[in-house]
Amino acid sequence: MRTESFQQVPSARSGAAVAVAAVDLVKVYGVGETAVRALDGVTVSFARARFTAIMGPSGSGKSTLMHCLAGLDQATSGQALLGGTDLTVLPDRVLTRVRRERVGFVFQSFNLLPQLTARQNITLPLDLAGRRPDPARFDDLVTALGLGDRLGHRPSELSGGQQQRVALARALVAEPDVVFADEPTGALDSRTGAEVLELLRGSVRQFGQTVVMVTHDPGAAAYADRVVVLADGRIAGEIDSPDPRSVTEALRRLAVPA
Amino acid sequence: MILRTQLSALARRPARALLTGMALTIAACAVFGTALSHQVVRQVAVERLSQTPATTDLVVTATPTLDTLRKVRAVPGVAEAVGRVDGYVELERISSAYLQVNADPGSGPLAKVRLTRGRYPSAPHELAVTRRAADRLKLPVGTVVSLRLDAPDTSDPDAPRRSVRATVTGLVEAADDGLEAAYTTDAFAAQLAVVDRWRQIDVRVAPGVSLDAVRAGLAAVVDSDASDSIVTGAQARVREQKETLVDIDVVFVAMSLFVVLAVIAAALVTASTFRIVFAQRLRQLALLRAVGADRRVLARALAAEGALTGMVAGVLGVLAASALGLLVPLVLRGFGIDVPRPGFPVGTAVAVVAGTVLVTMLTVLAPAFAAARVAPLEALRTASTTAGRRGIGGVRAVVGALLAGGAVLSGAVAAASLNGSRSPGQGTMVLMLVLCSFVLAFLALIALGPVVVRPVLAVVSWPLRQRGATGRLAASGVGAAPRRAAAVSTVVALGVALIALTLVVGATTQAAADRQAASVAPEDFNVVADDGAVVPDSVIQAARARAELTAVVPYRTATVRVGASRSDVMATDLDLRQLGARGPQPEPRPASEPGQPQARPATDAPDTVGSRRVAMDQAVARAAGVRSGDSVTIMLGQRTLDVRVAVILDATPLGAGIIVSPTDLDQLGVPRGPTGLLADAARPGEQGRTAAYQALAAISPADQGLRLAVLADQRDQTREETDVLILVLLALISLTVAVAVVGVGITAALSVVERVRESGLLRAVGMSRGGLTAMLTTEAALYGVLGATLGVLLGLPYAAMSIKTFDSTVPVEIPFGQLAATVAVLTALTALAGLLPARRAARLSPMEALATDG
Repeated sequence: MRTESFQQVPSARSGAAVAVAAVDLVKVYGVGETAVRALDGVTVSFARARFTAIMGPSGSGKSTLMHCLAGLDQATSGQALLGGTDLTVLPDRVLTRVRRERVGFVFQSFNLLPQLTARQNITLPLDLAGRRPDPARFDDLVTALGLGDRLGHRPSELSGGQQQRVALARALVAEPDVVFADEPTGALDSRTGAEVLELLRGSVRQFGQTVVMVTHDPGAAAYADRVVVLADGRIAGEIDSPDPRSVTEALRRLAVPA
Repeated sequence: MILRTQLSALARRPARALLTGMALTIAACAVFGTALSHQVVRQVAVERLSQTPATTDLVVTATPTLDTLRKVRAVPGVAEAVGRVDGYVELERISSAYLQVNADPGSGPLAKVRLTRGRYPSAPHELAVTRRAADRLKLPVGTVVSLRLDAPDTSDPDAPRRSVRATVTGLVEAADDGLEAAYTTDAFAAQLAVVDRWRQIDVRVAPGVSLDAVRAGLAAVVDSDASDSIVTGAQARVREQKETLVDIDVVFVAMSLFVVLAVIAAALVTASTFRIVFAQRLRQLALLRAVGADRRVLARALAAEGALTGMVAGVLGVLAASALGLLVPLVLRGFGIDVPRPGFPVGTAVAVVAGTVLVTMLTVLAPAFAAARVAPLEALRTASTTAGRRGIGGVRAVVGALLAGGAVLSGAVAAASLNGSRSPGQGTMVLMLVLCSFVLAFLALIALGPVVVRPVLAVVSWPLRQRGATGRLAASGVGAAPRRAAAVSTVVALGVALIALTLVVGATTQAAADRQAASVAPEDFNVVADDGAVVPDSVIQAARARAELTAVVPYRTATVRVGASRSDVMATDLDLRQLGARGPQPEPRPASEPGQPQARPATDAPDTVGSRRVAMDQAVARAAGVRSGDSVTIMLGQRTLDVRVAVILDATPLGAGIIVSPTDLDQLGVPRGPTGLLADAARPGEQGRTAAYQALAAISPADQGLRLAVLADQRDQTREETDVLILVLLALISLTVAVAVVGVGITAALSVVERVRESGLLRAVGMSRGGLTAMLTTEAALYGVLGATLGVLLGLPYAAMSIKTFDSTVPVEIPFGQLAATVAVLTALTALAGLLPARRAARLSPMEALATDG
């Protein structure tokens, strides 16, 4: 799949193939009386080349779900399937490889390395894998994200929106199976936030990328193809083709305060 | 209120406080440890090294003789009188060996030795020896040994030598076991050693007799009018103790210089640590400012925190030193060395703690005021890193430039006066200039550090950056905080500069000593015939035939006078071309010196000696006022010979003053037979040397009047002494290096804490645990490489200058291997210091790390 050219990807990735799935996933923090069931048997799947949002109030387990699916955190029981591989049984060494080659991340606070330039930040995952970026894809990505004239700058010399676009490029450059975005607009004003969401949706539409985004903002969730709502560590509902109003209504109907 | 917030923060994280004060803890431990060991060493010296036994009542010091001793014994009221001898006697053996000779009663209150085996000598021709003498010189109880008697008048070389036989009757234990010594009755000791080497007579007064009466009686016996020639035993002991203690105090003053260096290093490390710690709390401090805390109150609170850290560090250091003080005697006792336990000098302990607090206060002030200047707005910023400023301020740049200028200027003045003409007393001034320049250069390095570090980092990390993302990230991680990198690597540089200095000076001294030794002792063995005798031809033939020996060179010597000089010098016809690999080198001279012919290459030296062409030792040449190329007259008795000085050597074989051709010696009337023989061991190493020694001993028995000197052993001994001195210096410097390495460890630990999010991100985007550990360890190692490189760069020119101050002609030897090893060891040590925090950072799961509020 990686050998295919950039433009051909959408058709190859379309369809109902499952990119990521959780099967009866349980995550317990702590032991004894203070134990908290952050995930209480979640079963959900995320289709390939689709943009899915996970919603829910604070403490609903949405971030935990994402971390378990991304191989950042070890689940207590159940399965976290990435392209058919169960991440819960993999040792750290293999998980590191999975994160490097098959998963991309976008964080709320950008998390760029201050001492590296934008270009170095973008190619970091490839550098760590000892690979060279495909120049064509790198150029396409940089052009699509509007970073062409910013590559030599360090994060401190970039605006928040630009920083998040660099983070997005970093997540996309290795052509991962899935990009996880954790509140990607949380630290941005609404206009730049909208830009970033537009780019995320664009990567799905144009490049056939699978994107899973955690958010608590119905407006942001409306950019997604599908919304999964979590409450108290369980799946509380789903909305296909959401818009801000339907999401808000759905949340209210599920008696979950947005 | 603010103070309480800060202190509670401190109490919540005691480990952090310990870390901050760790360098100071080590320094305090070193200071208190030095004080304790000083106390112990003084105590030991007073108790054990006193020459006069405690039971001595009176001491006669006015150059006594055996005759004086007899008279002293006859004085009424004298219960016992013991003469002390300070002399040496040579063993009649093929290779020269000496015994220290002492007179001792062997038993009774005035005895200084204790018999452990056999019987103490009671008659002449009997000896008791120390265990060391018995072992080293192979003198077990029952051995009969021939001792060579010194001619009473040593200025007459032709006086016949006599020897006397003695039996070893017992083994004794003395206070100072480090000597090859023999003890015997005073009469025999006086016969062995020359009479005027009697040092003193210890007198015990009979019970009930007035000390003053005896003293008066003694004064009448001693025909010296010096009133202080008779002192009481207590006075003598006090005088000896004072002399010993002065020596010890000088050693400890020298030692404390190195301790002071370690304290300075600790202060630098601590200042940097406080900067980092405060920078990490910037948001909290800004918040305090935002809610209305006064800038001065904040600074005061931070300074108080520093003082508390200092107190904890001081107390811990003192306790650690005391614990070591209790432990070390126990360990030493395990090795059979009895050392008293140090006490706990409360005053010193309090002073050390107070001193530590003071130093901490000084180091914390600048960081505290800088941190208190934080703008309240900082609290609202979301930036998660505290990378700090990259460059340096204008004032700092100017100060740094001035310091650097001063360093260059004083260095240049020193270098200029080194090249110019020398006058006595100028050396000290130049040395002070060099020292001053070094201090200025180091201060400049501190001031300009952040600017200097970046280019050096770029160079030293180049190979690293070629080796993949981990290396690149480590290099950029260090480069991202140049002020921090500069602060910590400057301290490493201080230690390494001193090490480089020691190594270069040591290597140069060693090389000079080697050149000297190679000239003076050109071969491994020297067989010398006694005065008037010759080495028999049979011995020379036998030596040439033995497979264990090589480069056998017979030679003749004669005592001659050169030119107008009054003193005798030794002339030899030793053929320099026949010598082994070693050989004399011409005296090195700077080409710029006017009026001198160009220095000849070393290989020319042997060929320059011929008929009427001689090589001359530089000291002899100077005394005779002769320069290379001059003519000079050599005299032997009535005969004279005019020769030309072909070359002047800075050291000559066998300590000869002049090297001539055999025909010249013939013309001076020297008999044909060789008076000596040089030989090399055929095989290398200790085994080859032993085999060659045994071969020579076998073919030249002692009764033929031949004596064997192992020149190779003498060469090795000089080498060993220099090596020991260098090792001691390195050990003292290692204290500073240890502080520097701890500084790197602290910095690594603190940056790991502050960069937890970065670590988490790297793990999230696919860096393995090992990769992260490697990256953070490499960062710490880079501090070491940076510091070591700066240190070597700083140390080398000053090493060269200090060498030139002492001797401008010596070529400076740079021990590249040792310097490379120093850099390598420092890199390894700093990497090790970074390994622990790196492993801790890598253990954290990426999610936890990312969740940390930066």
